Amino acid sequence: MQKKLKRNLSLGLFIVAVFLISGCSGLKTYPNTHKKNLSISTELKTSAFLGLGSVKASMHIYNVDSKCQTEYMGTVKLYGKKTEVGIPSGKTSFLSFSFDTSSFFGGTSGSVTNGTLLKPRKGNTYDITATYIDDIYNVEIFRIGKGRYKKQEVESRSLSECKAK
Amino acid sequence: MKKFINLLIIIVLGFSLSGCFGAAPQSAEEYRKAIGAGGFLTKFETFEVNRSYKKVSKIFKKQAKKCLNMSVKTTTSSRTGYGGVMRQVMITDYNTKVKVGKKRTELAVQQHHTSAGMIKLSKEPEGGYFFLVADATRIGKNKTKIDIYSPSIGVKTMLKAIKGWATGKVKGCPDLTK
Repeated sequence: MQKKLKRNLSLGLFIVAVFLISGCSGLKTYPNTHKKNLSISTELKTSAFLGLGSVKASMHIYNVDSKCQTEYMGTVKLYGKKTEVGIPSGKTSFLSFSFDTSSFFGGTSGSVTNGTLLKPRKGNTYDITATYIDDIYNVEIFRIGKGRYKKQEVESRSLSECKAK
Repeated sequence: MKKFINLLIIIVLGFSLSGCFGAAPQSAEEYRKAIGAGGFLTKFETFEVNRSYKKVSKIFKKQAKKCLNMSVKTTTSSRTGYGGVMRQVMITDYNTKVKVGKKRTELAVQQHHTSAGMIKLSKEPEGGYFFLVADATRIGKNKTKIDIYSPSIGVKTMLKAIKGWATGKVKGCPDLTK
């Protein structure tokens, strides 16, 4: 009897977890099937009192068409130190980095985003650093090429700077 | 809690800068004068950096565009009664303008708040209430004076970022939900 109850409880928890992970937020996992051309390093450090808070980072990927209209492709959660992601080369994407913070005591949560247009060149890879340290966040993108211009910083461009063709 | 503090700042600033229910500063110049007069919960800081005016001015313009022109949503959850949970949402639009002159660059941050039931006690200027003004002034070839007019609370992260931009020690953006 107790075994049955335990099994039902486990099943219940599993269903709730599936709902929470996949359901209501409107976010979907980025399929990440393209050749990996982005290498993202992440460093997150909360400033919450006694470290009792959390900060999470995600990258939301959008395709941008010639009319500058966006199509949401999915989200990559930026866990750990390095995340490899592939986005289409030769096409414009909009990468939106979000940093979500929450504090344990205040019941307060906040979210800040930093987005940029990026059109990866064929054959190039890009090093991205996304940091959130003591309430200061930063996203830097470097194009890794060959020869003289081995590592070049890519200027951040907002969606409003997209030029429709 | 956070929302309450933000509301308190707006109310206290309205009181201290304008004198009960009078007009809030309608321009950066009026804001400088009000803060300079030493109102309650206001702060004025001045310091010099060993960087060229051109460099500081350029970074102010770049970072203001990137970091201080956005909408920020703050959600505060609190419990009430037995099992009751309330959620309050406040949207703050940050409008920051940078005016570059030959010898002085002005960075003026304005805030426009939207939240259910909010009452504004003084006239809001176009773009929102003035929240912070930072001036970079050329004083030498590689010396620039920074003057910052701000409230004394609720601005720690923004101050850290602006000072860091001026000195070159901070590259990132302040989390405006803090």
